Amino acid sequence: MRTDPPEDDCLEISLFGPGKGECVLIHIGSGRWISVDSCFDQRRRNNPALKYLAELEVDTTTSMRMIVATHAHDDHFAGISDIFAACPSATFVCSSALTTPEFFALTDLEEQAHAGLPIRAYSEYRTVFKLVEARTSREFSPMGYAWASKILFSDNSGVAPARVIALSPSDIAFTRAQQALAKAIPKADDAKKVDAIDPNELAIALWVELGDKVALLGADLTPGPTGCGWQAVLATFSPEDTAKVYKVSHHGSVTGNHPGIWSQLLADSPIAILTPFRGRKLLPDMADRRRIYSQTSSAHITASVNRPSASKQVRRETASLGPLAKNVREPWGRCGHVRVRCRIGQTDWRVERFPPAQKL
Amino acid sequence: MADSGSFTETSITQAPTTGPSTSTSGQITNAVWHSSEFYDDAVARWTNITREPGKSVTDPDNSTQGAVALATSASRQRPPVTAERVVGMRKWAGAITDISDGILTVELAPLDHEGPTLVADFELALLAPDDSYAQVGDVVYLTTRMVRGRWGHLEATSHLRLRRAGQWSAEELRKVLSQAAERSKAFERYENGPTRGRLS
Repeated sequence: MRTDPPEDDCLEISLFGPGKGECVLIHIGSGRWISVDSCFDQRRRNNPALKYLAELEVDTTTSMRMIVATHAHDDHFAGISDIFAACPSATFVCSSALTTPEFFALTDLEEQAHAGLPIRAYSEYRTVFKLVEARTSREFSPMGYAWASKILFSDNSGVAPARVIALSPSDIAFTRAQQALAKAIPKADDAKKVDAIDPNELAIALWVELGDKVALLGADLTPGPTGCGWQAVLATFSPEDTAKVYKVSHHGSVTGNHPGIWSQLLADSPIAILTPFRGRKLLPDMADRRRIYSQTSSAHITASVNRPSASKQVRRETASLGPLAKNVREPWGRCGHVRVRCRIGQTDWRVERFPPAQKL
Repeated sequence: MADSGSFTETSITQAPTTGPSTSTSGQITNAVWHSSEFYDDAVARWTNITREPGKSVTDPDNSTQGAVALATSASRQRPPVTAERVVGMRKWAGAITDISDGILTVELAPLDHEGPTLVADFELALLAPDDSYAQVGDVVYLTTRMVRGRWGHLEATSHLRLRRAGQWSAEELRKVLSQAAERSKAFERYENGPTRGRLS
């Protein structure tokens, strides 16, 4: 049953994703939860992570310990401010690259440039920053920053030691980000717009441990460039154990793959879970599938890679758009759910797929 | 999600057009929207009319009879010649996500009604004379109008234009950068230490 809560000694990795967007929920033992990224179910008009936690009767006001925004792309942060708003005891974590004055300035400039428009790449961050400013706590920090090798969460008070480590971004990636953000600040007399800057090399990959259970969440981390991405992770991170569950980086694309991930960080034939990306290019493509299946026979995706048939609502809206609009599509579709669970001391991982989730 | 299209009726004073026309801003705006499976539905929604089962559209007690008759009478008898009227309008805004091969891709969100966000392609030439300035990240507006022609027939017209948002002033930038520096300094207190958890 989807509504059965995990046992106290269970590591759960739940991956949600429509055709564009993803969110990971982690039960890290003893009723503690961590949320990584966020997506929105346009069909049902809800946040699938919050809906799932409500179905499990999880009290989000006390049980959510950390919310991680791996990077500032709209397929990863849609609705993340809603999760943070619902979880007042959680720490919001983003890349250290987003702590610069330039990033704060870009969020404010975008608010001015897009005033009154439903187009806001950084609006979720602005809302989160306002919530952080409104929250003060002596017990924990409402906000934290991630960089390579930083321990984001460590708690030995539960049934087993629990730990979450940021594997990225590297120092070089941080420096590159500073330069890119500074370059994106407009100058006087420039056209009134703001470019969204946040390359995937800045994404936060996470190493999750509960007792003897380990998972690797790859975000959208890229293989390089030199000193960045997976190259930097593999050069600096040497775990004692390998991960049995892998949230495949960048929707299975070759642009998120590095052979060292599979040989150095993952157990033999791990459980691979991923979300599709229905953009201009559909990810993962056939070559991506072949590559993933060359490493494991257990690969699961939250929804079909192909675009779904249009709902009645979408067909109506499409008709309203008139004759100038061509090739109208709604890439999001229904949000699927892949759930992976295993209890400490056991070896059998249970994989469950809730429609439209399917085997890759 | 329920539609909330509003009813508007505005006279158009110029003569009806007979083919693709050019708006005051120079864009190609006119195209006849031939009947589709959504045609009647679209008219009803745009004019905010709900047809009641068994009730004649010409029922004198039906306060919306004129508009409903408008949608249904064209094929029964030719109505008297009247001025063109806009009987419905919808607007969307969207950011350009891609431009290639003379095609721009836009993620469109409704501005004046409830509806899903959609992705659509448009010919870049539709943005003329601004087409050469369009870049990824720029905002475009799409407006569609349902127009009742002089002979009672309905046409849908569409208009795509690039948003001209002006330029940043030195004062605007100075103010934002100053506030951002202050906020960044205030957030420095979150940089140190393990983020969460207890080490025992």
